[in-house]
Amino acid sequence: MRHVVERTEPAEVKPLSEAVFLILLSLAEKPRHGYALMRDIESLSHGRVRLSTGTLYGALRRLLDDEWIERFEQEDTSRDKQAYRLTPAGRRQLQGELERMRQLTRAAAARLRMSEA
Amino acid sequence: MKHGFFDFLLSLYPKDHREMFGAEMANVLRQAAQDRRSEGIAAYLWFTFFEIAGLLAGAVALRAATLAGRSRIKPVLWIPAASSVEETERLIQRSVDCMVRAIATHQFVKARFYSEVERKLRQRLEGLKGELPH
Repeated sequence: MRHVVERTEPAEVKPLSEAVFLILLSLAEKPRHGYALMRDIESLSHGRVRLSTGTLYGALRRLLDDEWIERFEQEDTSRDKQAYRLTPAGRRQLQGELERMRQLTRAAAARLRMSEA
Repeated sequence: MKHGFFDFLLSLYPKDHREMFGAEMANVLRQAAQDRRSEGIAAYLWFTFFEIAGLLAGAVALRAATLAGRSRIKPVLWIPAASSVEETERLIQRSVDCMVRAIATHQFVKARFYSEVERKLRQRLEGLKGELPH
């Protein structure tokens, strides 16, 4: 017997991993290429999250498959740099995740207040 | 990290992934290695270990996803806004050049991507020409 009640979320809302969340957050500001993304994620997380090249490109590929990000050609084709930008679907996912975090933070703060009272 | 060793690690990835991301990954790795080298030998050694582990884990995960039919590369793109006929024609020529280069090096996934870019740009060009005064 299962003791976990599963709530069905709307199909498009998926919980995000920290790496995916940080990639989307970084691209929410402006389009970036791979190395700029890596550095920005390190900076956003105050050095706590450092993505390896393998992890970064695995995540970028999944995000491209889901159409949450898009590739675009840069003017300078002499270098192997490809920029990525957030799609409207990716922005919606990011906003959904932020809302989920807000709800969780509010619930946690309420619990802490109750336990301290 | 030596080029030969990186090539070996990259060879563990599925072919379509190597075609679409191989050059970019090599570029990112090169830049990251330069930065870490300037932070001292300990930082560089840790970086090398971290990257090898990441590349191996990435290759295994992607192979598993490909076998399970859960991963495919679609020609998703965003083309920079070109407002003039001349600019669009220039972008078309660049896409064709990239496609020819990709075919010449047997990178067929990449060639399909540029073919899709070219098709979309030609649609845009038709629209732009239609807006011109006769």
